[in-house]
Amino acid sequence: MNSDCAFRMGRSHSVCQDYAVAGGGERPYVIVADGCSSSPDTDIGARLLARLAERSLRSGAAELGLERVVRRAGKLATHLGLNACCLDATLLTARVRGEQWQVRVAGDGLVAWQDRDGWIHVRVISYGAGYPEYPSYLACPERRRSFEALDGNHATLLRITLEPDGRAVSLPDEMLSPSGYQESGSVRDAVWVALLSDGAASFVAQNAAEDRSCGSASVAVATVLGELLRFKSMQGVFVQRRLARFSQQCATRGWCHQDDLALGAIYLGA
Amino acid sequence: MPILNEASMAQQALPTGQYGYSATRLDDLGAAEYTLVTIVTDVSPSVSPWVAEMESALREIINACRHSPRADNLMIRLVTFSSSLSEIHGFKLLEQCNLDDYRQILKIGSATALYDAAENSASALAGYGKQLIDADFGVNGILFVITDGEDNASTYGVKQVRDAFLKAIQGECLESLVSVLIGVNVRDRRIGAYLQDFKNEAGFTHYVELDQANAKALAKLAQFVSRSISAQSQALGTGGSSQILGF
Repeated sequence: MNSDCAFRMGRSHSVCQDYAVAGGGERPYVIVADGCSSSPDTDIGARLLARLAERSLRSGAAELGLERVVRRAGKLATHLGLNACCLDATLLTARVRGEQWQVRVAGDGLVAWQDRDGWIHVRVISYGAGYPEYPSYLACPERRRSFEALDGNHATLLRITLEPDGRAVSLPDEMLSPSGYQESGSVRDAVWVALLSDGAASFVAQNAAEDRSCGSASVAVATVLGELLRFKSMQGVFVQRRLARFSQQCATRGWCHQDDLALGAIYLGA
Repeated sequence: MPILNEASMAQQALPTGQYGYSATRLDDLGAAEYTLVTIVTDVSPSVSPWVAEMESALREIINACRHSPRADNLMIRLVTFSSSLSEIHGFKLLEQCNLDDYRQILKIGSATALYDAAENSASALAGYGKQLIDADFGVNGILFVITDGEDNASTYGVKQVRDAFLKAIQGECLESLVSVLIGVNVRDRRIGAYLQDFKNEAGFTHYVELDQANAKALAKLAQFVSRSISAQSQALGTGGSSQILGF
């Protein structure tokens, strides 16, 4: 088994608020955190949450203990003189526990895994009005009430299947339960499992320079993932290689991601 | 079978020529990018007076590379040529290169198959580079061909060497390629002119000439090679090749 991660700043950002960590050796894990662009210092907050979540996963605890992670991060943020809003970040975790891989998403983002037949299964978690349920609300009842009072902001799940021949099949959105998204499976049935920040859904194709008036067109997330998730090799820093090569290919074809992009993956072995 | 190959290395054929190359299997590579270094050295009889100094220079180069901040991103292939080619070892991770292995490693032969050696080296860089690129690795290359005289034994001509360089550069096999022809102990102007012509016609990017082959000159050569490798490795990812520092 192996795990690796990478992240890149989006075109519309001046600081990268996405973060990712990977590790664990033969008990691998990956963590992706995506800081809210309208809250202050979420680049730091995303790192605090990711590293504290990592500590929890490395301890081998049965549960991540999300609220405990958030409260510890809050103490660190206070110690640094940061506003508690710096912790407004999504947190996605994936790990292998026994014969199972387990994923948990707090907020929005994408989960993907490839089965042994080569099909890639994607789950896109998003919120109707664009306001994710950040785990930081666990430590602030008032903010949580404000979040719950938002209209039309329920969590939705989009299922996409990428077939080996390149076709993509999407099912209609379905509503998610308020408890967040979790997924698991047997390590025998999957080659890899991956987490992505919602920057994967922010790709645009820029038109020719001489035709700037037309702006740019969105690139479907299925199209992006169909290329980004085709790992060529699974040893060493395989995610960094894939993202670096994909970025070069995007530059050639005029694609760019407006939002920060983070990708982490666990290779589950042959 | 190359004498200094590791178990993790595999033999590969080339579409051209009778010689292939060997290289570390892709499954055993963990980094994101590599600079492929090839050192090709003449072991014709005229080289025998300074073969010990040449081996010392090789050890200096390996040692300098091992201490480079980019050591984990280097692979080195060592080839010798006389009447035929001999691959001492294929593209090998630096961590697997033991300095003591480079003692009494250069065996003097007869004749000088310079063109065959240059063609094989460029083709091997292109072949392995393509494999790495197809597997998402970033890769560039740097080649040093060291000789003291004219070709007199190759089956290939300069045209085939040029074709091999062009394929390596234009075939999307490497992000960039720096190729240095090094004339050692060049005291005859005719040899110097011959090697300069070979450099131009074959398409080497640089020609360096040493008028001696003593310990001091070869030590300086070792420093030049090490610095050049370091510069090319740092250029990886920029899309261009390094600026070769003066000799």
